[in-house]
Amino acid sequence: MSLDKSLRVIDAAMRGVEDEAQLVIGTKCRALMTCYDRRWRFDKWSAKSLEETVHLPIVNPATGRTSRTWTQAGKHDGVISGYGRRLLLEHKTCSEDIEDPAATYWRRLDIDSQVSQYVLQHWQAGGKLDGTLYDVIRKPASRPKKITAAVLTSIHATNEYYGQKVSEETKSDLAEFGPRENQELYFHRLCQDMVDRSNRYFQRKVIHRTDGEVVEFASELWDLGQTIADANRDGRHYRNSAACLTYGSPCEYLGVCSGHDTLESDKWERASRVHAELSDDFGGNVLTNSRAKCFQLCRRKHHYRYGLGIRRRDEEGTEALYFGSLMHQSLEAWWSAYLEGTENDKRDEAGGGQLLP
Amino acid sequence: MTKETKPVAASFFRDHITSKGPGLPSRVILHGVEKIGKTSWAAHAPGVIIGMARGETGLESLIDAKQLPETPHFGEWQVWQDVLDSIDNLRTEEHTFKTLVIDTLNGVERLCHEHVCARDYNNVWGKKGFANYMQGYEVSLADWRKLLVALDNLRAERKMAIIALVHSKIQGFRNPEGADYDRYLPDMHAKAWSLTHKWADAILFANYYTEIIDDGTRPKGIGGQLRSIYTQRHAAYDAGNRLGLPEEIDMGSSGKEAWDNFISAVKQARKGGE
Repeated sequence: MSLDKSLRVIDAAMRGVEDEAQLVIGTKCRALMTCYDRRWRFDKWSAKSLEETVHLPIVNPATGRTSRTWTQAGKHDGVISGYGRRLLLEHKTCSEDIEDPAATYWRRLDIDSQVSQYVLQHWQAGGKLDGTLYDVIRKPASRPKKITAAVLTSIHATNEYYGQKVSEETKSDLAEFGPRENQELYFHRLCQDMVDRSNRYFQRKVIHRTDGEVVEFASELWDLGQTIADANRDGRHYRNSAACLTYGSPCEYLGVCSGHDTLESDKWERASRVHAELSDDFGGNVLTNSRAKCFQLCRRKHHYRYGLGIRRRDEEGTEALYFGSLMHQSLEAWWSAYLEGTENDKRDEAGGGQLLP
Repeated sequence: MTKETKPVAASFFRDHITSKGPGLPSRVILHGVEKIGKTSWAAHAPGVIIGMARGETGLESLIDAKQLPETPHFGEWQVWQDVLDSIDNLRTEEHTFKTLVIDTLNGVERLCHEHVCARDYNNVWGKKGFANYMQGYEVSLADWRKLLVALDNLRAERKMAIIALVHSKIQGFRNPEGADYDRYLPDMHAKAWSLTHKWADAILFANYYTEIIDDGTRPKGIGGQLRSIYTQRHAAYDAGNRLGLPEEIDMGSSGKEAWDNFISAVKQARKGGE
């Protein structure tokens, strides 16, 4: 049932789509969710809540004083329970190595501010958790490929591709468009790869924070609020030229910072909500993890995005964003099948899936 | 769904407002040379229960030899999960214990490394496994943090003090200001120790008092019967505390005397701070 739910989300998103790149993303998501379900469906986790937005004060742990300027907010993927533990759930998709336990992906989580802030938020709200379950999915890098003559012959002889039945529609596709994987054949190949190399694509690890580390983060959050307030008061928002090409593409404000464009041009508009990721608008003085990271990366970017609320009109979603967003919705649907207090709160007791270490 | 909370969530900051102090028992680490009396000292803590890492059964020998009275202790921790289970049982079950003693933390660290080696490196310890670029030690830090969090929770929820005993090792110190020298350090991997060091409220070092007589020919060490606990950082050893302890505490001639002197010093420090 969990798989059906998540696949329905993908099918709905793909309805009417003809763009090849988007169709490939849809197939990757279908394959990932199918194999994710196969990998994790027998784990005994149930969801206490999903996609909950929290809004809390920022408190100085050294004095207990509540900030009169700032509040903090965040949207948590979920809170789950099982194996005698209650954990924060965080879904992530990535293109990096997650199989190697010493991979940098895992090492940087030791001080990741999102984990710290979400743990702080739960603790502050009175529900101290036992850790954060990092539920990571690696995006497959492959694309549909040409089929060799031998494989084509085999498909026609056996009606199978990677051990799966091939539909008549696909066979006519092969006759009409030549020996190249369509979405169905590509799906079968992806699934086989994900089953063979499950650890490459799917990992879950529990991340911990000591009390001292959470309190240290609370101090840093307080200090960050003070620093942003100081910058706003002085009207000084200096640039960080080392951050103009972070994440492999130019910052959306690079043209403005370098004098080739102005915020008055028709390329820009004022966003109706600066925190689009939250389900509610809590006003301008909210510190989310994204906002804090943005300020730490470049004060000028933070000023444009969160101070002035300026966004590009023609901002196009990248392939990575589209993939990440579709996977996130699919995962939410998958987990909703395990939400406590609903009719769905039942799971297949058969088999013995992988347990967390 | 949005969740709003009241301006100050008491459950979190109640324990962290500095004007009052946390009011929680301390997290103390004692490292020291072999047979200095670490276990005998810790066994006199109030409401003590001791957890022994595999092979660290000095407590049982001391009880058998009538050097210590019968002292509550867990069965020898054979694997990492035994450690976590014991701590979890203390956190969740009814009991009257007030102090958990871990004997020894370096023994528990070894269990942690074994657990990680089995889980992530197919039990291969060499260069094709755990020891590959020392990655295993790095990976183990996430699990080590889990232990510290479990101890934090035990301390906060059951108001139990934590005492961890560690063997000492002698390690060279590269001195940027002059000649290099040797120091006593806890016998743990540097990264795990760094994490633990930050977590603890007091790091104590126990050693025999030795006087060096240098008559111009060859320096000689004399003494070696007097034992002391050192509480502050020194070039020769790692120590430090947030409890306001005096630099040196006499361990006397028995574990009980060593403990009593330590507690007197703690009480004195609290009085002095008021």
